[in-house]
Amino acid sequence: MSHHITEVKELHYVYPDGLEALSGVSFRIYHGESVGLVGANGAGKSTLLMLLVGVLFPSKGEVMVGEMPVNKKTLPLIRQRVGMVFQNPDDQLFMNTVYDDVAFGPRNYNLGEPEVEKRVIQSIEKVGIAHLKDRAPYKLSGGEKRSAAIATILSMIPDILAMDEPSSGLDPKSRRRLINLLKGFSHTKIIASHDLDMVLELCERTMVLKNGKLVADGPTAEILNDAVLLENCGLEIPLGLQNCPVCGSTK
Amino acid sequence: MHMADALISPVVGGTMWVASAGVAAYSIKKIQSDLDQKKIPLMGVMGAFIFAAQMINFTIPATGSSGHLGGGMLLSVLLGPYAGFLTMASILAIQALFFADGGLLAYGCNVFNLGFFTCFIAYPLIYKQIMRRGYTPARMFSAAMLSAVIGLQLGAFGVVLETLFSGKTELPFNTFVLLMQPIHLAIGVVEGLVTAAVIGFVWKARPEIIENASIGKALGSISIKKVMTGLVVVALFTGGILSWFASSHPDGLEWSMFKTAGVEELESSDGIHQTAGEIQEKTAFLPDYNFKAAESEAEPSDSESEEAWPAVSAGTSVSGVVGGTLTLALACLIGLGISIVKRRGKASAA
Amino acid sequence: MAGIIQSLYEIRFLDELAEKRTVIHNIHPLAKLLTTLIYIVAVVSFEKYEVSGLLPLIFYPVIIIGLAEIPLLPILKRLLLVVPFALGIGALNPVFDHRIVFTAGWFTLTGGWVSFFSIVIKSILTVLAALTVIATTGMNRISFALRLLFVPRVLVLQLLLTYRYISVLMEEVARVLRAYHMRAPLHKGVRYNAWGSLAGNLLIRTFERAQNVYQAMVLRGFTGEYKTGGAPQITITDLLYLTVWTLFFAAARLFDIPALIGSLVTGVVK
Repeated sequence: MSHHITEVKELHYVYPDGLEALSGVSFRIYHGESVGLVGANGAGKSTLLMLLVGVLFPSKGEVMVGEMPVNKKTLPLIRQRVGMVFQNPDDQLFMNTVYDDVAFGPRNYNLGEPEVEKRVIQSIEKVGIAHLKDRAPYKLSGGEKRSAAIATILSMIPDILAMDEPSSGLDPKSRRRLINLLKGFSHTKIIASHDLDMVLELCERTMVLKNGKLVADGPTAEILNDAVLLENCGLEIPLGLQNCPVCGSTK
Repeated sequence: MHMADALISPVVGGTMWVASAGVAAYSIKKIQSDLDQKKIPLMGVMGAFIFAAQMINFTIPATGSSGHLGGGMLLSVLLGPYAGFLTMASILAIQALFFADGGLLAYGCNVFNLGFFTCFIAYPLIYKQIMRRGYTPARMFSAAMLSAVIGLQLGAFGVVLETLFSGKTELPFNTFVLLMQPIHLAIGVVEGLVTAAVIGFVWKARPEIIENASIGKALGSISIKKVMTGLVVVALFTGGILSWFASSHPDGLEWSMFKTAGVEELESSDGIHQTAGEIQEKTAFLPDYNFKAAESEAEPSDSESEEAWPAVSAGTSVSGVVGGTLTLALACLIGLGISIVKRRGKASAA
Repeated sequence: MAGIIQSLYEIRFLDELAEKRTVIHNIHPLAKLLTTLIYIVAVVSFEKYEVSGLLPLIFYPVIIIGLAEIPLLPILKRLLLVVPFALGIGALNPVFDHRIVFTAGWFTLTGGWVSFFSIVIKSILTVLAALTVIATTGMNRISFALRLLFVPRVLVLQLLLTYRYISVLMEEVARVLRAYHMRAPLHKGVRYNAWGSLAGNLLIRTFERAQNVYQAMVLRGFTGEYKTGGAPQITITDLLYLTVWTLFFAAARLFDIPALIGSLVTGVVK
């Protein structure tokens, strides 16, 4: 399925204030892959996600989704294909009921109300919040808000999910629910996160960013075990791969 | 400063609704032709910001008391007059609905007093004029201060006029003005200080936020010619309505003119004489009172004629008091009855 | 700061009431909004010295509050908070209007007092009408009625966005104020030296949030036009609701019902 390749070539991005957020990043992501994007604060993770969905445009280089370059003309198609889940669900849930929020995308694509309703119901059932359909966002818990935000993206039926810190601010149980939910998705996933244990569980491949450069790209098990590399990039080996803190036995 | 429904008449409320709706329609046309869709969520979120920021207590230096932000000036500086006006209208709508802060019929008055004067008078004619030669802290301070004070003074004067034309209060024009303007001078000074402090801070930290709003974009620029034309149209319109009002309800306008003359005329003894005479007349007419009431009520258009004294109705007569009490008792009974039936229904269902 | 949390709870309280399902809640929002407006116009159109004629209009809020199962106390509390503002000006009427309207022995009633009572009653009725319409309809369905009244979609969307983010921003303001007062426990309000930075930082964060919201909207295909779902149909019940109430308001406006009842009763007693 070559048309589902996401490819980034020599990507540079300089913010208006002169800060170079990305310099020369290149990679390819294949259909159905699940990729972790890790790096210290300010390494360029969020910027990279913004470039993938065309919220920002590269200063140099190119982003291809499928066989389409991301530019102003292709934006409507790109955005249908790549769904982005924001770090703060309050920014993403801007309507006053879950239903209206999840329906916002499909309605913008003029799908007609029966089809919109079908998609909304499917999406909220998939993330397990069908019972919260008519709730106001302020009445949702952190985990429910996250699920609702994901549902707003699912209703657009994207091929690729780009997520910015999906597990931040969640209690352990909600985090577990989220991980199980994401495991069940067959979409291509690009997950930017500091939660390395989640990356370990969800992604077979990991890319490490440092100061806007891609310093490592390979199998997650290998990268997240490389103490020197992680240390260098402001990270540490995930707990799941560390020795047991109580008895010292190796995992 | 939010006007309540109880103090205005339908004619004044309706007129101001039309005026505010007109300004809103013009503003919407303006922001839509601008095609900056980024502004739509910005207006929404900024409205919520002003709403929340209005609840911050700012201690006023050297007084020990505290004041609040109104936000009209800040909105026009940050969003431009058109988007600023519309945002103010949303804030006022939510306040009227959820807090009954400002009435629904008085909504038009409130939007006009708090939105129009700041966004379409104070902002383009004062703030923009002073700031035309570029930003300096001193210039910005005087611009924010002057425009906030004048905007609020105009708004307060609007309240006075709208209330007097409604004819529900006995306050003479002079007293009312002397009451409203100084209070709003103080409020305006606080508004100016807070607005200047916020703009000053944002200008230092993120200058592009304010520059984007005020420079270049069609949203920020507003020609004085257009404002003046608009004002003339509004003035003609209001004048037309008022003169129609005056011709069909001479008493209403006469009443407010009469008030302008001052307190002493009101206290004049012939008023009491007249009333005493009417009271006599009234007591004599008590038997066929009902007919009279029905007759005079039958013309709702006549309701503005406040001085039509005979209509001081059943409140003065025994039958009125009895009937009123019965009505209220009945209302209580109905309310109680409904809630009892409801509770029973719930209990049996459970 | 307590004020912010209090206001937030009041909004949420009304919001929750609006989610009930009663006869009144099920009436079409447009019918309710129009009825409310007609009601307010009817109340306000009574002349300055009218007292008794206004009384029958209390039936409207009483019946709505009863049927919609709106708890009385919180509504009365809000009423007590709001009404004084309107009364401030009305309270001066007795000072300026000394014309005697009624005397019975030592008791005299001046025109000022009559017009003052009239304002009191009008305040109560109009405030109740505004609060009951939101408590039985909610913001979403009100905005729906606004669309049917040809209010432009941009404005409706903007109103909804403001309403949505009031919750978020009031919490944020409350957090900032809490942080301020933790470090300045003796200050009653925010001191002058922090005015700009406190409100300014909040404002900058608001701008950033607005940018994120915009991106979230654009990523889901927003192109400047607000597209909404289908509308519930206006039924015969809704029309009946509107008509019956309007007829009642008209009757109350045209005939002094208490006076009629009163003369009937006093007549019978005689």
